[in-house]
Amino acid sequence: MTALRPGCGADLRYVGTACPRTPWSDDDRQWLEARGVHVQYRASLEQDIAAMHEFKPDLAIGTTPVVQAAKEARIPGLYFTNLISARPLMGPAGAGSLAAVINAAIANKHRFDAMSDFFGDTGQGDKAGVWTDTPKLRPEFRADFKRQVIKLHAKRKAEAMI
Amino acid sequence: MPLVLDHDRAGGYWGAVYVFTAIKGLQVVIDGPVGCENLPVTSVLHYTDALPPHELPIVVTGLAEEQLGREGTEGAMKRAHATLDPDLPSVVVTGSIAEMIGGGVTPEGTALQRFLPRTIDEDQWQCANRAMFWLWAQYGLRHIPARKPVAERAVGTKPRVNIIGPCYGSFNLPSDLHEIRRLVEGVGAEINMVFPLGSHLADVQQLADADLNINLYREYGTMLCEALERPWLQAPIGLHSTTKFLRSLGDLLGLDPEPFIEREKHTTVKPVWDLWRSVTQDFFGTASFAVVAGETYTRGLRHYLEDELGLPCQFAVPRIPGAKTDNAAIRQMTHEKPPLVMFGSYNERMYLAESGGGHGPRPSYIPASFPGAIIRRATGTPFMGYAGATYILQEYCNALFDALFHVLPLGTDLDRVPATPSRLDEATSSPWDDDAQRLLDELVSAQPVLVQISAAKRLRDRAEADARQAGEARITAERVARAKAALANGATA
Repeated sequence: MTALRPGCGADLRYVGTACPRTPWSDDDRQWLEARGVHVQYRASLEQDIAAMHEFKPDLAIGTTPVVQAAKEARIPGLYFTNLISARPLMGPAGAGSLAAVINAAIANKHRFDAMSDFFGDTGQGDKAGVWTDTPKLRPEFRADFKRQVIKLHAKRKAEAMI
Repeated sequence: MPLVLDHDRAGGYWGAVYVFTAIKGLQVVIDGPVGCENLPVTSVLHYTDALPPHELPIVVTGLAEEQLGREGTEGAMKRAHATLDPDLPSVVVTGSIAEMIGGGVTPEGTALQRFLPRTIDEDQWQCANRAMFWLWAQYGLRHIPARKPVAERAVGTKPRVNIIGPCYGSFNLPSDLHEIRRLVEGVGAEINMVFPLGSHLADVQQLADADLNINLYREYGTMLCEALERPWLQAPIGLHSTTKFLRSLGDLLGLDPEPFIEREKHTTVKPVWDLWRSVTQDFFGTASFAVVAGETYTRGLRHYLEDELGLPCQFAVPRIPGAKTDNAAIRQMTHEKPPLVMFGSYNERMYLAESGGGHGPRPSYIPASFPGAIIRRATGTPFMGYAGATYILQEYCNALFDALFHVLPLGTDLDRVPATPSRLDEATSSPWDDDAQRLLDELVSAQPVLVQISAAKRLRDRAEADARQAGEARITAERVARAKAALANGATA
């Protein structure tokens, strides 16, 4: 799948996979690296997301959390299992069927911008989750708890010295 | 009878996770193996609550063989805890595997609290019930001030009401919560807290400020309602139930609910009155329903539809906390006495689909319960309150119209039917055996009255045409039975 993309004329920057490096995938690695693609074996979610932020692609294909992070960052995304691996990819017909999906996703860019402009930081940080009213941030609660933890640690330390 | 294992609820720790993540300011550590959060957090919540998993403050210890066999889970928990916000409290919940090896022990020197879901013995709702109470026990008040008598309330202040029960993973919650809030505010009280969803850990003590609590579900929340030392009411489903609820509310809070009830009669719940006087009501007495859902919805729907509206109930099975539902029996009932309208979950929808169309209308399915991939975040599909009474009846009537749609032939189908045989030899038209006629009557009367005329015509025509083709002189009971079977298989003449 990954080797297919540059073959179609896309500018591919990063391929992450949970699989380890093996002799059986080495031809693919060489082919990709010869075209300047960074190949990451045993990739963690953090590495995938960091690559997405670094390269800011027109389209990110990955696992659910990668796709969700991309969409939050206004980048169209496709869940690999839903839309890519579920279809036959061999031969010209396979590549052809993929093009429609990819082009439709990329063409959504301006809609991602409009959505993100509207929602802004909704659902981020302390505003995450489901609310029944406008989120009210509670910095004083955080400060209180921090003081309690410091006190707890001091007490433990004092006890340990006895 | 094949083994039916369909689940209808999750295990204990899911309930704890859905309660603890619903309240703001609390972080959750799941003590469990790698990937154990995949179902409750990443997958299921996506298909039920449409919530991106990273909006839940959750981390997993990710236990592997080393922890299970040698190290225990303490170190893994410390590592997991370190990835959370250090300035917010966290609670550890144990999955079944951690419970089996005595996990969930909180590392020293951290402010990690521990909650034991007893996930092997308790189900989602039993555990959610305890988790809601736990929040109060940990963050609430030791001593609750006495409730101020209604008469002593300062002029211009409104009585305050808590809504207890909202959390993640509850079917149709946003609509029901919206409606109960509307009712409370409608009679002139105000919402003190919605708990735990949307409340902050810093405010748990304020639960005691309410004059009254409303428990949204029967499955969980009662333990907390009992602990709060205030009168509490169960949220209503149905027309008359809602009126009674509003009058009790008014009574307990010293408010006059009648102006609001009057307004509702002319607005929100007027469609019930309109449909009650319509010709569609003619069919209420014969067009049956069945319901399999959580205890709250099953009790509410059965009471509203059967007792208040007079619809025949084929069966009503509540999913009770702590008790296993006999899904094999539900499957059998669904096949043997299919209702015209089925309120249920994905399971019941599956059982209906298995039974095929058969002779008569295809039963309609109205979602009324998890499990199932169904997002209900919009607020327009309530089952509770007056808005719920209207919504349920409206959907039921639409299901009746739907049943007729599937019985009435399409114009294009009519054109495809073979030409009607001429009845030149009308005089010699095949006579019916007595037992054939009896069987026809029996089969037709087993159908809902709504579609009996169409069903009788289809079966009679089919039996006569088949007999003619076979050159039989009389219509026999066997011929009628075979015609019925042919119609059930959907085969054309």
